[in-house]
Amino acid sequence: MKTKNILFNLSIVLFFATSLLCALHSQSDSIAPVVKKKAILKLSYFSVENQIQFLNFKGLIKTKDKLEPIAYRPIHLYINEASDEKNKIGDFVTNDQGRIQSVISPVFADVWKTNNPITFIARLDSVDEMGTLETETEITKAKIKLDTLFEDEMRKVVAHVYTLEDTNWIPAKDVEIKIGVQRLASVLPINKEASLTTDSSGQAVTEFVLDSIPGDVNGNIQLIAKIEDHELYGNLETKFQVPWGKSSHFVNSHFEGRSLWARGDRVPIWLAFLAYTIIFSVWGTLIYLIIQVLKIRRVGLEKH
Amino acid sequence: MNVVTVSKTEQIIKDIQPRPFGKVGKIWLGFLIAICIVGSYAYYCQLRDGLVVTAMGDYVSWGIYISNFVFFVAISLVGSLITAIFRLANIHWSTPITRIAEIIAVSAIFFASLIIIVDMGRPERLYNLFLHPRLQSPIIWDVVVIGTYFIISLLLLYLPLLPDIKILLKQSKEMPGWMRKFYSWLGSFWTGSKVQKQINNHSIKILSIMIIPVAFCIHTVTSWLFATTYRPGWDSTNFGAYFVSGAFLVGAGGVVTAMYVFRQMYQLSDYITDKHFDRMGKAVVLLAFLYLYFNVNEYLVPAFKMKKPEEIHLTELFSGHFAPMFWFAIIVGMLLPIAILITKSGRKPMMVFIAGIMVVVGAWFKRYLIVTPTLLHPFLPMQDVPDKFRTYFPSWHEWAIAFGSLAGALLVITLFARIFPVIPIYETIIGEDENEEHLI
Repeated sequence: MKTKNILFNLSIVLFFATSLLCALHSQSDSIAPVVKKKAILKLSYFSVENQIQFLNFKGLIKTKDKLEPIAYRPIHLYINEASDEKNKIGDFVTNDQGRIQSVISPVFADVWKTNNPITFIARLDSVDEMGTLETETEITKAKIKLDTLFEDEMRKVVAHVYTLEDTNWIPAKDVEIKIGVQRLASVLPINKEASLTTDSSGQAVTEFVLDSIPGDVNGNIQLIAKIEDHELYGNLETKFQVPWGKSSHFVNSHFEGRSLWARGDRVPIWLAFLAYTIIFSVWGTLIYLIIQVLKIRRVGLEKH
Repeated sequence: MNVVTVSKTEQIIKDIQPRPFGKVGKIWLGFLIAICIVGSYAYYCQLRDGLVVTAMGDYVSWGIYISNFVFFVAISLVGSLITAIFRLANIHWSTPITRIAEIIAVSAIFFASLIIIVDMGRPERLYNLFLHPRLQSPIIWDVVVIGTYFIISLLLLYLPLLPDIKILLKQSKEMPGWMRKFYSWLGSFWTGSKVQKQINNHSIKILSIMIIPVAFCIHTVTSWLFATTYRPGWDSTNFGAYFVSGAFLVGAGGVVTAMYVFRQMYQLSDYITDKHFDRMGKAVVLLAFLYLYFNVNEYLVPAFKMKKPEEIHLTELFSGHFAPMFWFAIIVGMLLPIAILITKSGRKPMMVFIAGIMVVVGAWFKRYLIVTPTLLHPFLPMQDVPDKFRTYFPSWHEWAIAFGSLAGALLVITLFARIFPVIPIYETIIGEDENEEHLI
């Protein structure tokens, strides 16, 4: 009986102790919750007109319910190897949105020519408690060539995608490509097909169905072909000018006429008349008064 | 008619003629020069590094430089009030203070022009303003009017000075050689002949008439730099009159302050009498009421409508971030001077001097409040901008340059008072006796 009582009391003490420990543990959790942080880093490669290559970096930190940019942090970009300082493209600081952009300097021409595929590395020194962060992207060199074709009484746009293999440019097949017309702030698709895929000859052909699209004064428009976020080639775009648009005549009459908001030589006649009348009258009087001062001087000197 | 004896005339000349600086004068001079040197160094830094040394940014692109500019333009208006309006209205009691008013006007308008150049990021390109003027812009109107006002003020200072220079040249034995040479260069040709007097009086009359519309233009055009811009706090048809009335007030405040200082420093209590303070005190009260009236107009009408952007602006002024400065400018710059000067006992020299300082200091803050809060409250919300764009507090460079320019204006006035009589000698003697032939 005594043993039973002891066991009973012990079990009660144990129960309360365990409950207390659990409560304390849960309380400590609620006081200082361990927030898991995850860095989302993206380094993208861009090639414009097969000539200008640059890199874009964007860094975000994901907490429990927030996504915050890695803003105002030092970042270093490297080509090929991060261990060698010679390969450093540059040191940067991310902007308020956690972004940076850098062209690939011609200094790296030799590295660029002798390597394919080529790797780019982004390294952030110290981000909160996460230490050094690093991401890399590997790209295989590729290029787009745009051309036009008139077939079956239809205007067509032809895009060729090539990739570099050893020293030869060979057609790149099964590459998704978008073709459109460059407008002021976006790309206008030239038909209902959202995107095309290159065939075995690296070619994608599509019809140009837009008529009476406004062009420049001579009716020129810019065709554009884009490869976006390709796992091998990155982001590529190239443009091609064609006279397929409607000639636009800009109405400049509002700016060319005489008005209060026009440039200096287009001052309204009434304003010019008023202003110059006042200026010449006042300054005419002032010049008269200065002459009077000289007259006082002359009269005085004559008397001497 | 009082008969002025030769000894009386000599006494007037002796009392009024410029004197070398005493100990206090030298300390004051050194103090002003020191501030000017610091200001010049700050401007050198600004020229070297660009406007980045200032706290101005995309939103507050007009900081204390422009506040200072408006202040200088305002205070310069006093020349037209005292010299021209009183002269044309045949108010003779103002004779002893006309020159003080003109000195303030010339130095203030000179520094107004300078401070505008200081506000420019690339001052070496100033000539383009004249090579490619845009007549539609109030800025070019301002440049033209400021230049014109400066020349008129200079002539209005110089012409009444000619007879005085001749009188001073007669006392040349007691003055340094450089001063005698300078006087000779300026006015040794003055003989006081009938023809000269006739031309001089005629010219002064033309200038007195001409300076009034030009003075009104200068401050109206300055107000249009703001009012022609569609922004909360500036979008007002009242702005021209509001600025002109404020300018008259600060100008009068500046004159009474200078009157007291010169009276004390040069022992001129026989010339700048208690009556002058009494009358100028009354003028300050009238002008303070006038400015208060325009202030009520300026704030009551938009506050009654409370359009959203105006609401933000007015709330910031009345009870927000700018409230202490706003109420300081209203109470210290207008209400307290009225309270002091409205009674006869309040118009004693010392009290008028204190009220004058209050008016001037309040007016400087008022100009700051006209310029800066509006720029911080644009119609479109400030989005995706660095935090420093949302506030404005001048950098040390701006403070140094602003105080340097204020010290510069005071330095010009001080040096003028060292070289020339601060009270017109000739006109004072004439005032005593019209028969001045025995003098010149």
